[in-house]
Amino acid sequence: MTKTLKRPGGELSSRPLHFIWIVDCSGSMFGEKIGTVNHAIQSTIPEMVDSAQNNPNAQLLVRTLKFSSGASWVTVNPVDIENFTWDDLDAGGVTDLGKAFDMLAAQLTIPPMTDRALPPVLVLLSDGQPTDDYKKSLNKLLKLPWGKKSVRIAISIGQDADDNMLQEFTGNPELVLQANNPQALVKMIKWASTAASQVSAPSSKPLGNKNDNGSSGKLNGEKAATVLDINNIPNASSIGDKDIW
Amino acid sequence: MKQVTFGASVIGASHKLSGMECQDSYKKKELIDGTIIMAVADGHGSKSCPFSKTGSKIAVNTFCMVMEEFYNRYKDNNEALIAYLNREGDTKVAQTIDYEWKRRVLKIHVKNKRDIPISENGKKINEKIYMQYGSTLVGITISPTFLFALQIGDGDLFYVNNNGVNHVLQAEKILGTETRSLSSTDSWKNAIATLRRRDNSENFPSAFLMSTDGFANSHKNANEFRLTCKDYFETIKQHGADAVKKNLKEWLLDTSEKGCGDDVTLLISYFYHDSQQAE
Repeated sequence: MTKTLKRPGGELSSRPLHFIWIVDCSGSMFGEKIGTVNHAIQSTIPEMVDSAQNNPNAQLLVRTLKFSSGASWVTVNPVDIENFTWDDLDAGGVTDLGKAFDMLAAQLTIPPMTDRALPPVLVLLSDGQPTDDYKKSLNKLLKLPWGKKSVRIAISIGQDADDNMLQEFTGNPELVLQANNPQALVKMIKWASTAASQVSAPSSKPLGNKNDNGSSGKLNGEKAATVLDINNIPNASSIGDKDIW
Repeated sequence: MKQVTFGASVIGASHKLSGMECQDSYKKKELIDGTIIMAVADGHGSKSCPFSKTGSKIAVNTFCMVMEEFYNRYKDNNEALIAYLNREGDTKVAQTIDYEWKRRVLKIHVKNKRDIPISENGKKINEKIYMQYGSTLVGITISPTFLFALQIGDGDLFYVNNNGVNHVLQAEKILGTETRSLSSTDSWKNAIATLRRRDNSENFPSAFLMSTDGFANSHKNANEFRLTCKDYFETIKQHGADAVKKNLKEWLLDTSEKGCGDDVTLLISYFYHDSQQAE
Protein backbone atom coordinates (compact mmCIF):
# COMPACT_ATOMS: atom_id res chain seq x y z
CA MET A 1 0.00 0.00 0.00
CA THR A 2 1.21 3.53 -0.80
CA LYS A 3 2.35 5.46 2.22
CA THR A 4 0.71 8.91 2.12
CA LEU A 5 3.19 11.45 3.36
CA LYS A 6 3.10 15.19 3.74
CA ARG A 7 4.90 16.99 0.92
CA PRO A 8 8.42 17.81 2.11
CA GLY A 9 9.57 21.33 1.98
CA GLY A 10 9.64 25.01 2.67
CA GLU A 11 7.14 27.69 1.83
CA LEU A 12 5.86 27.89 -1.74
CA SER A 13 4.85 31.07 -3.47
CA SER A 14 3.74 32.41 -6.84
CA ARG A 15 6.14 34.83 -8.54
CA PRO A 16 5.56 38.55 -7.97
CA LEU A 17 4.84 40.68 -11.03
CA HIS A 18 5.10 44.43 -10.44
CA PHE A 19 2.99 46.68 -12.67
CA ILE A 20 3.58 50.43 -12.33
CA TRP A 21 1.56 53.29 -13.84
CA ILE A 22 3.80 56.38 -14.17
CA VAL A 23 1.57 59.37 -14.84
CA ASP A 24 2.47 62.86 -16.00
CA CYS A 25 0.39 65.24 -13.87
CA SER A 26 1.92 68.49 -15.13
CA GLY A 27 -0.24 71.52 -15.92
CA SER A 28 -0.65 70.62 -19.60
CA MET A 29 -2.51 67.44 -18.57
CA PHE A 30 -5.19 69.54 -16.87
CA GLY A 31 -8.80 68.98 -17.88
CA GLU A 32 -9.86 66.34 -20.38
CA LYS A 33 -6.49 64.57 -20.54
CA ILE A 34 -6.12 63.78 -16.84
CA GLY A 35 -9.86 63.11 -16.65
CA THR A 36 -9.58 60.51 -19.40
CA VAL A 37 -6.52 58.94 -17.75
CA ASN A 38 -8.38 58.67 -14.43
CA HIS A 39 -11.45 57.14 -16.03
CA ALA A 40 -9.54 54.78 -18.34
CA ILE A 41 -7.15 53.34 -15.75
CA GLN A 42 -10.01 52.92 -13.28
CA SER A 43 -11.92 50.94 -15.92
CA THR A 44 -9.01 48.53 -16.55
CA ILE A 45 -8.99 47.26 -12.96
CA PRO A 46 -11.78 44.64 -13.25
CA GLU A 47 -10.15 43.14 -16.36
CA MET A 48 -6.75 43.05 -14.70
CA VAL A 49 -8.33 41.30 -11.71
CA ASP A 50 -9.94 38.70 -14.03
CA SER A 51 -6.71 38.20 -15.88
CA ALA A 52 -4.76 37.76 -12.62
CA GLN A 53 -7.28 35.20 -11.39
CA ASN A 54 -6.71 33.20 -14.56
CA ASN A 55 -3.04 33.02 -13.72
CA PRO A 56 -2.75 32.19 -10.03
CA ASN A 57 0.97 31.49 -10.43
CA ALA A 58 1.84 35.18 -10.77
CA GLN A 59 1.06 37.65 -8.01
CA LEU A 60 0.13 40.89 -9.76
CA LEU A 61 1.16 43.89 -7.65
CA VAL A 62 0.20 47.36 -8.84
CA ARG A 63 1.39 50.86 -7.97
CA THR A 64 1.00 54.40 -9.26
CA LEU A 65 3.77 57.00 -9.45
CA LYS A 66 2.84 60.58 -10.38
CA PHE A 67 5.14 63.38 -11.42
CA SER A 68 4.73 67.11 -12.00
CA SER A 69 6.69 69.54 -9.78
CA GLY A 70 8.50 66.67 -8.09
CA ALA A 71 7.34 63.06 -8.02
CA SER A 72 5.60 60.88 -5.47
CA TRP A 73 4.11 57.44 -5.02
CA VAL A 74 0.33 57.53 -4.98
CA THR A 75 0.40 53.90 -3.89
CA VAL A 76 3.05 53.81 -1.18
CA ASN A 77 3.57 50.02 -1.27
CA PRO A 78 2.84 47.48 -4.01
CA VAL A 79 -0.80 46.38 -3.75
CA ASP A 80 -2.34 43.13 -4.91
CA ILE A 81 -4.52 43.94 -7.95
CA GLU A 82 -7.59 42.69 -6.08
CA ASN A 83 -7.07 45.40 -3.47
CA PHE A 84 -5.89 48.11 -5.83
CA THR A 85 -8.01 51.26 -6.06
CA TRP A 86 -7.42 54.20 -8.35
CA ASP A 87 -7.26 57.60 -6.66
CA ASP A 88 -8.13 60.29 -9.19
CA LEU A 89 -5.11 62.41 -10.03
CA ASP A 90 -5.06 66.21 -10.47
CA ALA A 91 -2.83 68.12 -12.85
CA GLY A 92 -0.65 71.18 -12.25
CA GLY A 93 3.02 72.15 -12.19
CA VAL A 94 6.03 71.26 -14.35
CA THR A 95 7.30 67.91 -15.74
CA ASP A 96 9.97 66.52 -13.38
CA LEU A 97 10.31 63.17 -15.14
CA GLY A 98 13.87 62.68 -13.89
CA LYS A 99 12.59 62.68 -10.32
CA ALA A 100 10.08 59.98 -11.25
CA PHE A 101 12.85 57.84 -12.77
CA ASP A 102 14.90 58.28 -9.56
CA MET A 103 11.99 57.07 -7.43
CA LEU A 104 11.40 54.17 -9.79
CA ALA A 105 15.06 53.17 -9.66
CA ALA A 106 14.98 53.08 -5.87
CA GLN A 107 12.16 50.53 -6.02
CA LEU A 108 13.69 48.36 -8.76
CA THR A 109 16.83 47.51 -6.82
CA ILE A 110 17.20 44.17 -4.98
CA PRO A 111 15.84 44.52 -2.29
CA PRO A 112 13.05 45.65 -2.24
CA MET A 113 12.63 43.62 -5.46
CA THR A 114 13.43 39.92 -5.26
CA ASP A 115 15.48 38.03 -7.82
CA ARG A 116 12.66 35.55 -8.44
CA ALA A 117 10.14 38.13 -9.65
CA LEU A 118 8.76 38.23 -13.18
CA PRO A 119 9.93 41.19 -15.29
CA PRO A 120 8.26 44.37 -14.00
CA VAL A 121 5.94 46.27 -16.35
CA LEU A 122 6.38 50.06 -16.44
CA VAL A 123 3.77 52.16 -18.25
CA LEU A 124 4.65 55.83 -18.69
CA LEU A 125 1.96 58.34 -19.76
CA SER A 126 3.12 61.81 -20.77
CA ASP A 127 2.01 64.73 -22.95
CA GLY A 128 5.01 67.01 -22.86
CA GLN A 129 8.70 67.70 -22.55
CA PRO A 130 10.56 66.91 -19.32
CA THR A 131 11.56 70.08 -17.48
CA ASP A 132 14.40 68.50 -15.49
CA ASP A 133 17.53 66.61 -16.54
CA TYR A 134 15.88 63.22 -16.98
CA LYS A 135 18.69 61.55 -18.98
CA LYS A 136 21.00 60.82 -16.06
CA SER A 137 18.12 59.35 -14.05
CA LEU A 138 16.90 57.28 -16.99
CA ASN A 139 20.39 55.89 -17.58
CA LYS A 140 20.64 54.95 -13.93
CA LEU A 141 17.25 53.22 -14.12
CA LEU A 142 18.13 51.29 -17.27
CA LYS A 143 21.45 50.13 -15.83
CA LEU A 144 19.75 48.35 -12.94
CA PRO A 145 19.33 44.60 -13.49
CA TRP A 146 15.55 44.89 -13.16
CA GLY A 147 15.59 48.18 -15.09
CA LYS A 148 17.13 46.37 -18.06
CA LYS A 149 14.70 43.49 -17.79
CA SER A 150 11.60 45.60 -17.29
CA VAL A 151 8.92 45.70 -19.97
CA ARG A 152 8.49 49.39 -20.78
CA ILE A 153 5.54 50.93 -22.57
CA ALA A 154 4.92 54.64 -23.15
CA ILE A 155 1.70 56.39 -24.08
CA SER A 156 2.35 59.61 -25.94
CA ILE A 157 -0.57 61.94 -25.28
CA GLY A 158 -1.10 64.64 -27.89
CA GLN A 159 1.21 66.06 -30.51
CA ASP A 160 3.39 68.01 -28.08
CA ALA A 161 4.63 64.88 -26.34
CA ASP A 162 8.37 64.22 -26.58
CA ASP A 163 8.39 60.98 -28.56
CA ASN A 164 12.19 60.82 -28.68
CA MET A 165 12.34 60.81 -24.90
CA LEU A 166 9.56 58.23 -24.70
CA GLN A 167 11.46 56.05 -27.14
CA GLU A 168 14.59 56.35 -25.03
CA PHE A 169 12.49 55.03 -22.16
CA THR A 170 10.92 52.08 -24.01
CA GLY A 171 13.98 51.23 -26.12
CA ASN A 172 11.54 50.30 -28.86
CA PRO A 173 9.62 52.76 -31.09
CA GLU A 174 6.77 50.28 -31.49
CA LEU A 175 6.05 50.56 -27.78
CA VAL A 176 5.47 54.31 -27.89
CA LEU A 177 1.70 54.31 -28.34
CA GLN A 178 0.09 57.40 -29.86
CA ALA A 179 -3.02 58.88 -28.28
CA ASN A 180 -4.15 62.14 -29.84
CA ASN A 181 -7.77 62.00 -28.74
CA PRO A 182 -9.70 60.64 -25.74
CA GLN A 183 -10.85 57.45 -27.51
CA ALA A 184 -7.28 56.57 -28.49
CA LEU A 185 -6.04 57.25 -24.98
CA VAL A 186 -8.63 54.87 -23.51
CA LYS A 187 -7.70 52.12 -25.99
CA MET A 188 -3.96 52.51 -25.46
CA ILE A 189 -4.33 52.41 -21.67
CA LYS A 190 -6.45 49.29 -22.02
CA TRP A 191 -3.84 47.63 -24.24
CA ALA A 192 -1.02 48.55 -21.87
CA SER A 193 -2.94 47.00 -18.99
CA THR A 194 -2.88 43.62 -20.80
CA ALA A 195 0.93 43.58 -20.70
CA ALA A 196 0.80 42.04 -17.24
CA SER A 197 -0.93 38.90 -18.46
CA GLN A 198 1.50 38.63 -21.39
CA VAL A 199 4.53 38.85 -19.11
CA SER A 200 3.18 36.46 -16.48
CA ALA A 201 3.68 33.20 -18.43
CA PRO A 202 6.44 31.14 -16.79
CA SER A 203 7.88 29.84 -20.10
CA SER A 204 11.55 30.62 -20.48
CA LYS A 205 13.27 32.21 -23.43
CA PRO A 206 16.82 31.78 -24.69
CA LEU A 207 19.31 34.54 -23.93
CA GLY A 208 22.23 35.29 -26.23
CA ASN A 209 25.72 34.07 -25.46
CA LYS A 210 27.83 35.78 -22.82
CA ASN A 211 29.96 37.14 -25.63
CA ASP A 212 27.20 38.52 -27.81
CA ASN A 213 25.31 41.18 -25.91
CA GLY A 214 24.52 38.83 -23.05
CA SER A 215 24.92 41.71 -20.69
CA SER A 216 22.45 43.83 -22.59
CA GLY A 217 19.58 41.58 -21.60
CA LYS A 218 18.45 41.35 -25.20
CA LEU A 219 17.02 38.17 -26.66
CA ASN A 220 19.35 36.98 -29.39
CA GLY A 221 19.40 40.37 -31.04
CA GLU A 222 15.65 40.95 -30.79
CA LYS A 223 14.34 43.96 -28.94
CA ALA A 224 13.89 42.99 -25.32
CA ALA A 225 10.37 44.29 -25.09
CA THR A 226 9.13 42.06 -27.90
CA VAL A 227 8.09 39.61 -25.18
CA LEU A 228 4.83 41.49 -25.79
CA ASP A 229 2.62 40.67 -28.74
CA ILE A 230 2.86 44.01 -30.53
CA ASN A 231 0.69 42.87 -33.42
CA ASN A 232 -2.48 43.64 -31.51
CA ILE A 233 -1.59 47.21 -30.53
CA PRO A 234 -4.57 49.36 -31.58
CA ASN A 235 -3.99 51.40 -34.74
CA ALA A 236 -3.93 54.99 -33.48
CA SER A 237 -4.83 56.55 -36.83
CA SER A 238 -8.12 54.67 -37.02
CA ILE A 239 -9.38 55.64 -33.56
CA GLY A 240 -11.61 58.68 -33.04
CA ASP A 241 -12.77 61.30 -35.54
CA LYS A 242 -9.70 63.49 -35.45
CA ASP A 243 -6.59 64.40 -33.53
CA ILE A 244 -7.74 67.00 -31.04
CA TRP A 245 -4.70 67.16 -28.75
CA MET B 1 27.57 1.57 -0.32
CA LYS B 2 24.28 1.35 -2.25
CA GLN B 3 22.28 3.85 -4.21
CA VAL B 4 18.77 4.36 -5.48
CA THR B 5 17.95 6.86 -8.23
CA PHE B 6 14.48 8.01 -9.17
CA GLY B 7 12.65 11.07 -10.42
CA ALA B 8 9.49 12.57 -11.85
CA SER B 9 8.50 15.29 -14.24
CA VAL B 10 5.15 17.08 -14.14
CA ILE B 11 3.40 19.56 -16.36
CA GLY B 12 3.21 23.05 -14.89
CA ALA B 13 -0.09 24.28 -13.49
CA SER B 14 -0.19 27.26 -15.83
CA HIS B 15 0.92 25.16 -18.81
CA LYS B 16 -1.98 22.84 -18.11
CA LEU B 17 -4.38 25.80 -18.15
CA SER B 18 -3.03 27.00 -21.48
CA GLY B 19 -3.08 23.52 -23.05
CA MET B 20 0.70 23.19 -23.37
CA GLU B 21 2.60 19.93 -22.94
CA CYS B 22 5.33 19.42 -20.33
CA GLN B 23 8.59 20.70 -21.86
CA ASP B 24 10.89 19.08 -19.25
CA SER B 25 12.73 15.77 -19.69
CA TYR B 26 14.92 13.62 -17.50
CA LYS B 27 16.99 10.48 -17.91
CA LYS B 28 19.07 8.22 -15.70
CA LYS B 29 21.43 5.48 -16.66
CA GLU B 30 23.33 3.01 -14.49
CA LEU B 31 26.55 1.47 -15.78
CA ILE B 32 27.83 -1.99 -14.83
CA ASP B 33 30.28 -0.67 -12.22
CA GLY B 34 27.53 1.24 -10.43
CA THR B 35 28.27 4.61 -12.06
CA ILE B 36 25.15 6.75 -12.39
CA ILE B 37 24.66 9.18 -15.25
CA MET B 38 21.63 11.42 -14.96
CA ALA B 39 20.32 14.61 -16.50
CA VAL B 40 17.37 16.98 -16.49
CA ALA B 41 16.50 19.47 -19.22
CA ASP B 42 13.95 22.25 -19.51
CA GLY B 43 12.60 23.05 -22.98
CA HIS B 44 11.96 26.78 -23.21
CA GLY B 45 8.27 26.60 -24.07
CA SER B 46 8.05 30.13 -25.47
CA LYS B 47 6.40 30.72 -28.86
CA SER B 48 9.70 30.79 -30.70
CA CYS B 49 10.55 27.29 -29.41
CA PRO B 50 7.63 25.07 -30.55
CA PHE B 51 9.65 21.82 -30.45
CA SER B 52 11.40 22.40 -27.14
CA LYS B 53 10.00 19.18 -25.64
CA THR B 54 11.93 17.32 -28.32
CA GLY B 55 14.91 19.59 -27.61
CA SER B 56 14.91 18.69 -23.92
CA LYS B 57 14.62 14.96 -24.70
CA ILE B 58 17.57 15.22 -27.06
CA ALA B 59 19.50 17.11 -24.37
CA VAL B 60 19.19 14.40 -21.69
CA ASN B 61 19.82 11.62 -24.21
CA THR B 62 22.88 13.41 -25.53
CA PHE B 63 24.37 13.97 -22.09
CA CYS B 64 23.92 10.33 -21.07
CA MET B 65 25.29 9.04 -24.38
CA VAL B 66 28.31 11.38 -24.45
CA MET B 67 29.24 10.66 -20.84
CA GLU B 68 28.91 6.91 -21.33
CA GLU B 69 31.17 7.11 -24.37
CA PHE B 70 33.81 9.06 -22.44
CA TYR B 71 33.51 6.58 -19.61
CA ASN B 72 33.96 3.59 -21.89
CA ARG B 73 36.85 5.20 -23.78
CA TYR B 74 38.80 5.54 -20.53
CA LYS B 75 37.48 2.46 -18.73
CA ASP B 76 40.98 1.06 -18.21
CA ASN B 77 42.45 4.34 -16.99
CA ASN B 78 40.25 6.04 -14.43
CA GLU B 79 42.93 8.60 -13.54
CA ALA B 80 43.22 9.69 -17.16
CA LEU B 81 39.44 10.17 -17.31
CA ILE B 82 39.47 12.24 -14.12
CA ALA B 83 42.29 14.38 -15.48
CA TYR B 84 40.53 14.84 -18.81
CA LEU B 85 37.18 15.81 -17.30
CA ASN B 86 38.88 18.16 -14.89
CA ARG B 87 40.83 19.88 -17.66
CA GLU B 88 38.31 19.80 -20.50
CA GLY B 89 34.94 19.65 -18.73
CA ASP B 90 33.71 23.08 -19.71
CA THR B 91 35.49 23.07 -23.06
CA LYS B 92 35.86 19.84 -25.05
CA VAL B 93 33.21 17.87 -23.15
CA ALA B 94 30.77 20.78 -23.41
CA GLN B 95 31.65 21.21 -27.08
CA THR B 96 30.92 17.55 -27.73
CA ILE B 97 27.51 17.86 -26.08
CA ASP B 98 26.75 21.12 -27.94
CA TYR B 99 27.76 19.56 -31.30
CA GLU B 100 25.87 16.31 -30.72
CA TRP B 101 22.68 18.06 -29.55
CA LYS B 102 22.67 20.25 -32.67
CA ARG B 103 23.42 17.30 -34.96
CA ARG B 104 20.49 15.36 -33.52
CA VAL B 105 18.17 18.39 -33.72
CA LEU B 106 18.91 18.84 -37.43
CA LYS B 107 18.41 15.14 -38.06
CA ILE B 108 15.01 15.09 -36.35
CA HIS B 109 13.96 18.34 -38.00
CA VAL B 110 14.68 16.95 -41.46
CA LYS B 111 13.19 13.55 -40.66
CA ASN B 112 9.92 15.20 -39.63
CA LYS B 113 9.92 17.29 -42.83
CA ARG B 114 9.64 20.54 -40.90
CA ASP B 115 10.20 23.91 -42.59
CA ILE B 116 13.83 24.75 -43.27
CA PRO B 117 14.50 28.49 -42.88
CA ILE B 118 16.46 29.77 -45.89
CA SER B 119 18.46 33.00 -46.09
CA GLU B 120 18.24 35.48 -48.98
CA ASN B 121 21.23 33.87 -50.63
CA GLY B 122 19.62 30.43 -50.46
CA LYS B 123 21.54 29.04 -47.49
CA LYS B 124 19.95 26.94 -44.75
CA ILE B 125 19.78 28.91 -41.47
CA ASN B 126 20.54 26.22 -38.91
CA GLU B 127 20.45 28.70 -35.99
CA LYS B 128 16.74 29.27 -36.58
CA ILE B 129 16.15 25.53 -36.47
CA TYR B 130 18.08 25.11 -33.20
CA MET B 131 16.07 27.96 -31.68
CA GLN B 132 12.83 26.00 -32.21
CA TYR B 133 14.19 23.18 -30.01
CA GLY B 134 15.76 25.39 -27.32
CA SER B 135 16.51 23.70 -24.00
CA THR B 136 18.69 23.90 -20.91
CA LEU B 137 20.70 20.97 -19.53
CA VAL B 138 21.96 19.88 -16.12
CA GLY B 139 23.80 16.56 -15.96
CA ILE B 140 25.97 14.59 -13.57
CA THR B 141 28.07 11.44 -13.68
CA ILE B 142 28.60 9.86 -10.27
CA SER B 143 31.23 7.13 -10.37
CA PRO B 144 32.64 5.30 -7.33
CA THR B 145 35.74 7.54 -7.53
CA PHE B 146 34.56 10.92 -8.84
CA LEU B 147 31.61 13.04 -9.80
CA PHE B 148 31.45 15.25 -12.84
CA ALA B 149 28.65 17.77 -13.35
CA LEU B 150 27.89 20.09 -16.23
CA GLN B 151 25.24 22.75 -16.76
CA ILE B 152 24.08 24.99 -19.61
CA GLY B 153 21.25 27.34 -18.62
CA ASP B 154 19.16 27.36 -15.47
CA GLY B 155 18.31 24.52 -13.12
CA ASP B 156 19.77 23.31 -9.82
CA LEU B 157 22.03 20.56 -8.56
CA PHE B 158 22.45 20.12 -4.81
CA TYR B 159 24.37 17.69 -2.64
CA VAL B 160 22.65 16.95 0.67
CA ASN B 161 23.85 15.00 3.67
CA ASN B 162 23.51 15.21 7.44
CA ASN B 163 25.82 18.23 7.44
CA GLY B 164 23.64 20.35 5.19
CA VAL B 165 22.78 21.37 1.65
CA ASN B 166 25.41 22.50 -0.85
CA HIS B 167 25.42 23.52 -4.48
CA VAL B 168 27.36 21.14 -6.72
CA LEU B 169 27.14 23.68 -9.50
CA GLN B 170 25.90 27.24 -9.29
CA ALA B 171 24.78 28.78 -12.56
CA GLU B 172 24.75 32.56 -13.02
CA LYS B 173 21.45 34.07 -11.89
CA ILE B 174 19.61 35.63 -14.80
CA LEU B 175 16.60 37.70 -13.80
CA GLY B 176 13.17 37.15 -15.30
CA THR B 177 12.36 34.28 -17.59
CA GLU B 178 15.45 34.20 -19.79
CA THR B 179 18.09 31.49 -19.67
CA ARG B 180 21.23 30.28 -21.40
CA SER B 181 20.36 27.67 -23.98
CA LEU B 182 21.78 24.77 -25.95
CA SER B 183 20.23 26.44 -29.00
CA SER B 184 22.64 29.40 -28.85
CA THR B 185 25.61 29.57 -31.18
CA ASP B 186 28.56 27.96 -29.35
CA SER B 187 26.37 27.20 -26.34
CA TRP B 188 29.34 25.35 -24.82
CA LYS B 189 30.88 28.74 -24.03
CA ASN B 190 28.09 29.20 -21.46
CA ALA B 191 28.68 25.79 -19.84
CA ILE B 192 29.85 25.46 -16.26
CA ALA B 193 31.36 22.20 -15.04
CA THR B 194 32.94 20.73 -11.95
CA LEU B 195 34.85 17.58 -11.08
CA ARG B 196 35.29 16.25 -7.56
CA ARG B 197 36.96 13.14 -6.26
CA ARG B 198 35.02 10.84 -3.99
CA ASP B 199 36.79 9.06 -1.15
CA ASN B 200 36.24 7.15 2.06
CA SER B 201 35.67 10.33 4.05
CA GLU B 202 32.29 10.88 2.36
CA ASN B 203 29.38 10.85 4.80
CA PHE B 204 26.43 8.59 4.10
CA PRO B 205 23.56 8.77 3.65
CA SER B 206 23.77 11.51 1.06
CA ALA B 207 21.77 12.59 -1.96
CA PHE B 208 22.11 14.51 -5.19
CA LEU B 209 19.00 16.49 -6.07
CA MET B 210 18.78 17.75 -9.62
CA SER B 211 15.88 19.91 -10.78
CA THR B 212 14.61 22.22 -13.49
CA ASP B 213 14.09 25.87 -12.52
CA GLY B 214 10.35 25.41 -11.95
CA PHE B 215 11.23 23.70 -8.67
CA ALA B 216 13.33 26.53 -7.20
CA ASN B 217 11.09 29.25 -8.66
CA SER B 218 8.11 27.79 -6.83
CA HIS B 219 9.67 28.63 -3.48
CA LYS B 220 9.33 31.90 -1.63
CA ASN B 221 13.09 32.40 -1.57
CA ALA B 222 16.40 30.55 -1.78
CA ASN B 223 16.32 29.57 1.90
CA GLU B 224 12.92 27.92 1.57
CA PHE B 225 14.18 26.02 -1.46
CA ARG B 226 17.21 24.72 0.41
CA LEU B 227 14.92 23.72 3.24
CA THR B 228 12.91 21.67 0.76
CA CYS B 229 16.04 19.91 -0.52
CA LYS B 230 16.99 19.01 3.04
CA ASP B 231 13.45 17.90 3.76
CA TYR B 232 13.35 15.51 0.78
CA PHE B 233 16.59 13.97 2.03
CA GLU B 234 15.21 13.60 5.57
CA THR B 235 11.98 12.08 4.25
CA ILE B 236 13.91 9.42 2.32
CA LYS B 237 15.98 8.71 5.43
CA GLN B 238 12.88 8.36 7.56
CA HIS B 239 10.37 6.71 5.23
CA GLY B 240 12.52 5.18 2.50
CA ALA B 241 13.00 5.97 -1.18
CA ASP B 242 10.00 3.91 -2.26
CA ALA B 243 7.61 6.04 -0.24
CA VAL B 244 9.05 9.24 -1.71
CA LYS B 245 9.04 7.79 -5.20
CA LYS B 246 5.37 6.88 -4.95
CA ASN B 247 4.35 10.34 -3.79
CA LEU B 248 6.78 12.37 -5.86
CA LYS B 249 4.56 13.18 -8.85
CA GLU B 250 1.75 14.40 -6.63
CA TRP B 251 4.14 16.54 -4.58
CA LEU B 252 5.61 18.12 -7.68
CA LEU B 253 2.14 18.88 -9.09
CA ASP B 254 1.27 20.54 -5.80
CA THR B 255 4.56 22.46 -5.89
CA SER B 256 3.86 23.85 -9.35
CA GLU B 257 0.26 24.68 -8.50
CA LYS B 258 1.12 26.57 -5.32
CA GLY B 259 4.30 27.97 -6.82
CA CYS B 260 5.33 29.44 -10.15
CA GLY B 261 3.13 27.29 -12.41
CA ASP B 262 6.07 26.09 -14.53
CA ASP B 263 6.87 22.45 -15.36
CA VAL B 264 8.78 20.81 -12.51
CA THR B 265 11.27 17.95 -12.69
CA LEU B 266 13.19 16.46 -9.79
CA LEU B 267 15.71 13.64 -10.04
CA ILE B 268 17.21 12.22 -6.84
CA SER B 269 20.14 9.90 -6.39
CA TYR B 270 20.32 8.67 -2.79
CA PHE B 271 23.45 6.93 -1.45
CA TYR B 272 23.51 4.90 1.76
CA HIS B 273 25.46 2.26 3.63
CA ASP B 274 24.27 -1.34 3.48
CA SER B 275 23.12 -1.03 7.07
CA GLN B 276 20.98 2.05 6.41
CA GLN B 277 17.40 2.21 5.16
CA ALA B 278 16.54 3.41 1.67
CA GLU B 279 13.99 1.19 -0.01
